[in-house]
Amino acid sequence: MFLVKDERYGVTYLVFTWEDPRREGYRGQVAEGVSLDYDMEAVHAWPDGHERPEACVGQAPDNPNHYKVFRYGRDLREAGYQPVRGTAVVFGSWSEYERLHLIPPDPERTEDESWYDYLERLDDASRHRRQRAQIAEEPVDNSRDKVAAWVARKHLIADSSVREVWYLTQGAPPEDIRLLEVNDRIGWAGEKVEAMDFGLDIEGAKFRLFVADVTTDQLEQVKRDPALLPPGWALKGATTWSRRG
Amino acid sequence: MNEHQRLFLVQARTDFAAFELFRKQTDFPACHALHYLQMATEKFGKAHAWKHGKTGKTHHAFVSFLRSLATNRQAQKQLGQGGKTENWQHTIRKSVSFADAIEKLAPALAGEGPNPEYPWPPTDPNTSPAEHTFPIWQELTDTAAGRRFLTLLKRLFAVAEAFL
Repeated sequence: MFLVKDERYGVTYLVFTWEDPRREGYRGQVAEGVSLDYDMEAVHAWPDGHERPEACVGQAPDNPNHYKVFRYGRDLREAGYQPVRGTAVVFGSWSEYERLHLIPPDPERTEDESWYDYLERLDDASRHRRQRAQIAEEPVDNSRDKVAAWVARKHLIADSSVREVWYLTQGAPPEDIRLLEVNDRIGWAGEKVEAMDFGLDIEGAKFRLFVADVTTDQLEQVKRDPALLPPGWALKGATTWSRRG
Repeated sequence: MNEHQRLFLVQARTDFAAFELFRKQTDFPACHALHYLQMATEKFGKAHAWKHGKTGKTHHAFVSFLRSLATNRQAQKQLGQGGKTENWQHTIRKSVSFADAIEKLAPALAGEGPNPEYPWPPTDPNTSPAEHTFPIWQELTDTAAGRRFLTLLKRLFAVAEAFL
């Protein structure tokens, strides 16, 4: 068997696989030629009145390549095994284990630090994904509406945390593109909505791009009280785009 | 704040003002905005480092300064994040990665790679900053995290005296 120690969301997993993870592109450290004694039924049996099983992993005193999962820490010590930090999991291949981690951790049961680790992994994955995402180099034409749609699409691809883009035209000067981007992973959100502006030159057509990032809660507040928007902005008549188009 | 710090802060603020101008301009390529952003953050970092006397030649002072903010409750409050410690630490962590990428734009640190001032690689140039698409610029403009970082910088420059 093969063994990989994988740190995820603040937890150490001791991943035992039958196939070599390196053959599937895994580049971390792999221990090969290991063996595991793990009687799952016996370890995890929990009859009424008994202590909850601890499922402790130990390394054999006479063979550092042999591991055993004990029901309790005291059993491990009695057997003279060395305790190994982590939770033992057994998979046929590394990709089977990876697939399991595509499921996000439960936000209600996850510590903040681990949750942010998860979000950063998601950002990394999004960064890789957008490298292969197809987006037109330039908008269909350089009318303001087409440019706004193109910028919105670009932002939705570039930033996995943006779930919706509102394009606000009412009262906007013809050279201004006003986007309200809805994102629940913003580090902080003030009372009022603030926009940041950038110059935009599309094949000689020049615009001022204003982008304001808001959370879903802020958007709801803005719907009730439009005065929270930057001066002159209005939600009425907005065009919206979401991740799916 | 001592006089050395004040001098660096004054210069950093004008660099940042130049960055703000270039950010909004459509007539100039992104390299100019990035150049001023890199210089503004470098000098801000130096203004902070001069608190304890003469500093060596460093381009890393701003990242060190940002890291120090992670546990600075006063800064957290002044920058509108009072009582939201986890959010604050996440914001700082994200900001450090942007600041690190910006510091590395300095020609002295960029080595053979892209920088916003000179064509590269230095020994046999084949690319000019004015014609280059800088991924860091796209991160700053196209992502919420990038825009938040720029907002944080704007606030930091506005109340810099409180941290120096």
